[in-house]
Amino acid sequence: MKSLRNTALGLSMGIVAASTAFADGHAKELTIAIVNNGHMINMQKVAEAYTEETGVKLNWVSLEEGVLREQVTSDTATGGGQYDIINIGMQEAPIWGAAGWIEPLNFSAEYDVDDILPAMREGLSHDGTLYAAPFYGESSMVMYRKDLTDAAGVTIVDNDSWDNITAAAAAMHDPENGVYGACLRGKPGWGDGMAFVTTVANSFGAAWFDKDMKPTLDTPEWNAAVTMYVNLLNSYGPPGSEGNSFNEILALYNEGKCGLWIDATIAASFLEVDGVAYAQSPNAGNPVGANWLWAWAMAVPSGTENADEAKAFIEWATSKEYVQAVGNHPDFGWAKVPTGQRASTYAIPEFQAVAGFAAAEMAAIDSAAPGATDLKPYVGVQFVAIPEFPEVGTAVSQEIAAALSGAKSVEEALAAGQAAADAIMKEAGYY
Amino acid sequence: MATVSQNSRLSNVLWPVAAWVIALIFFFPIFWLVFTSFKTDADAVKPEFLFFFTPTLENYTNMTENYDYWRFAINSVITSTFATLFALTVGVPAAYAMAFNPSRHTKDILMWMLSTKMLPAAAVLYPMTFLTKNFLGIYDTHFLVILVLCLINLPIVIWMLFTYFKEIPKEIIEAGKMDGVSTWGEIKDILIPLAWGGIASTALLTFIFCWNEAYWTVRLTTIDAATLSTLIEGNRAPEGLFFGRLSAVSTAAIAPIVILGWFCQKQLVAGLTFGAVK
Amino acid sequence: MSSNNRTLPRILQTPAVVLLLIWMLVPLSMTLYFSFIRYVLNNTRRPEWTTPSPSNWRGFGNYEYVLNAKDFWFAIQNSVFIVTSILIITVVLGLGIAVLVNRKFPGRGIVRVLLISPFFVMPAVNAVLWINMILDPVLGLNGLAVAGINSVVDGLRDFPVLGWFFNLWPVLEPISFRATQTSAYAVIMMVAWQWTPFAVLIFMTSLQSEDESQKEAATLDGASPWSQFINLTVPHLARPIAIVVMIQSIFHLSLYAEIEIVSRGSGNKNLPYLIGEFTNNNIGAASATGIFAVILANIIAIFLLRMVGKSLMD
Repeated sequence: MKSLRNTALGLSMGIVAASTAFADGHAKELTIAIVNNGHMINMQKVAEAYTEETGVKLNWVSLEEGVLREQVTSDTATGGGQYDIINIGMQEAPIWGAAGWIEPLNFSAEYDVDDILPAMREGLSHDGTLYAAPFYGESSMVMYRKDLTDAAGVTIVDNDSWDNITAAAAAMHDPENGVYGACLRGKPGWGDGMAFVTTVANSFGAAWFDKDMKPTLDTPEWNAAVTMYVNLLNSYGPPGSEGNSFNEILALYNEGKCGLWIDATIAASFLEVDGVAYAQSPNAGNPVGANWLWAWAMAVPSGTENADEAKAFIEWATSKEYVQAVGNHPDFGWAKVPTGQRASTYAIPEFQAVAGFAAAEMAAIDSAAPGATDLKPYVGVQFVAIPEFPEVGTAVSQEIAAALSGAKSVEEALAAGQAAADAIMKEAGYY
Repeated sequence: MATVSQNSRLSNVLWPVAAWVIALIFFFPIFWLVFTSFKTDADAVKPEFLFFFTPTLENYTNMTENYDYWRFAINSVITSTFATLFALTVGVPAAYAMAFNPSRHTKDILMWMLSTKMLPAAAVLYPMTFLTKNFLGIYDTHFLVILVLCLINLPIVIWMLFTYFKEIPKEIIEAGKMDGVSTWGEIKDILIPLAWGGIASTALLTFIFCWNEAYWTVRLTTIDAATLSTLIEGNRAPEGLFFGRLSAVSTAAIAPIVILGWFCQKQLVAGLTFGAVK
Repeated sequence: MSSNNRTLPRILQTPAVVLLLIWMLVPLSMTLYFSFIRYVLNNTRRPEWTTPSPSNWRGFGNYEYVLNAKDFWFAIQNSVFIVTSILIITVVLGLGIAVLVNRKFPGRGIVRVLLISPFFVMPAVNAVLWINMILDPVLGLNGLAVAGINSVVDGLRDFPVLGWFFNLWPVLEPISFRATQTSAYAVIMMVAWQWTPFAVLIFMTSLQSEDESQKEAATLDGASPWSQFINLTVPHLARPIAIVVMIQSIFHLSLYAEIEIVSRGSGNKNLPYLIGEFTNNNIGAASATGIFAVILANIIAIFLLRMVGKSLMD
């Protein structure tokens, strides 16, 4: 099997070499797999200029996040070739780089790789080599209705305590008038509800694994964090929180139904209600990991025949010039530039003028800590950069959703989650 | 007698009313989908615009500009049409043989064919990706999609055709044999005209199943052969508010098949017997 | 002539049989092989497991792992629950509606067209439409209706005498259909909506072939409409019911999109979905689950085909 694959690989590489020799001067095509997010969809239009300039035709495949991941994984694991550029996140970048699934990125000097925010660079690298370039990045923060807190006579401050957040949510909670104190994610999935719950757990001093990579969901810290989360949402959250993620809450928030919302900083650019104020994520004594760090980045799968063109495109799409191109584009403007990737973006005066959330976002990204610590012996804030994490995270997330909807107690849910995580880690050969 | 006629008069009114009410309930979700597709994403979640709003085509223009709707739609038409034709080409002779020249094993073969339809696609997804990409090199081609759509529907096609053919008196076919008509002639000149209604119903049902197949079509294509199912996969949960966008894409994806179904409704009602009518 | 009688049918059947055999055997044998080896797409600790090599032979290890994995038994049980519920609902509703529209009345053609429309809708569209626009507890019609009722009741509380009565009314909470306890019902509801029209189609066809003279005789004998329905119509529909049950079982055993879209497997799973969860990395476990799913499908197939298929062959 292996040798057959190698022969096929060698053969195809020969063909590639031959065809590229002849292909000079011909129009190239790149197939780009993207998640269906606003910045990525806008890129399709902005990149028309790129096609005009270079003659490289771009084919966009936009898929739902989970399906994209599944498709890209099975393509990459079977030697790739379907996509020239893939949209991946911070969870995949370092491990896929380590597995040799994606190519290291070395850009020219004018790309100014040092301008990329350090947290982003660190999160997308493996052993100091950058494997994916951030298209946009985000952390998480509190977005609350200042008008409602003022009316209720409460305040929310940066790095607040969860007790105070709960008190503020209680003060704003007025379901008879359609206002719910706190809207938080609960939808099962490691990238949805679990991402938020992990930051809560981190802020209580919990971690996913101990130094032997044994899951630690049975610790009192996890219990305290999940109990607080479940009580907060059940007392002061909207109905159906176990089905809510970013989109659902965004709709609620813009309808004026939420007092406070803790979620991706990118949400700030979608908010249309008045009186929104921002604060750094709350914690219960441990600020490290209380706010997450994520990037939608672009990488080149190893199987592609057009690696050079793909890298050239990524260099353009993640550059300072791209930010300028979006800002000056008649359809988009400065309010729609991708953020969270480069320090220089935040220094642009036109951007500062339209983005009231810029300072809070930058502070949140800067304080996010993906690196390993004694408490948390793995890379990643709201995820763990190991190949098994999506499975572990989703299994635990389903259990927490069960606790949230009252089908299980927090103890039962965490015990079931612990058992599932333990089985997966044992199966993967960690111990 | 008076009570009976009163009863029947009452039922003459109530009967259609009940039928209409149930029909409208069943159709309501589709109506709501189409209705929502003319709202902006922001309006679609606002209760004040629940019934009265300024209609917009924004979602449809957005869809054709950003997602190349027509490429997906054309792929759906091509793959569904050819898969249906291919399935009939393979299915008609097989069903003919089973209906008119049954052997001891015919029943078992038919049962076995149907049982292949029960195999869960997810169980063989990874091997299929592996085979079609690394060994056959037909991943993301129309050929592959047509082949797979044909194969997953073939058991139902053969079974449906078999049940229609069985209702044709054997003597008619035998008479053809006596006259020295070739097998091909039998199929073409006697069987197909006689079973035309059944074949048309089978084709219709197969076409509907092909059009609506999502598991394989999404997972065995990337761009060249991607069908409307892929378009739906890309739009079922995009970032931000999306009810309007999603409704427009969904409406555009189901409209061709729903309209086709409406036109062929009589054919479906008449033909979907599966041998149940004697 | 006699040899022609045997070989020709065989030749005519060959393409179908061979195609289906390949379609079934090749991927399935690979699945079977993968189910006996350690095979993961990515593992940083044990990179040797990432190639499907015979040296990773594991015997029944994957099967053991899967049998003890979270939700395995739940998935089987839940799968049977969903399919059975859908079958009961569609058959009962389908019978009722088919009888209803079998009579002539003004606009029957349009009623039929409206009724069968859900059957043409793509499963993924069905699921996103129901879970977002209809069942969402705040933004969907479900939530809006409950909010509407609450605000009406709230308005009535201020009335002089009646207000006292309405003050006793509780504020209604909308049901969330993405919750662990309810997600299976959401899937049952949307699939039943889509497949009831299929049952109606088949029952309608059969009703049209019902022997009218028998019915007339029964009416003259003074049989009530209900006893006619039970004694004449239902026996006549036994075979169509069997067909509806069989075809639907074939399709609903492999529900996938609806489960994913409604609750991502929270409180609602079947074996295909469990396989999907494994496929993201652990191909060995996914394959072992796949083999279990094949066994389950075959058990049901034998049972169903025995029950239904035999009678259809005669």
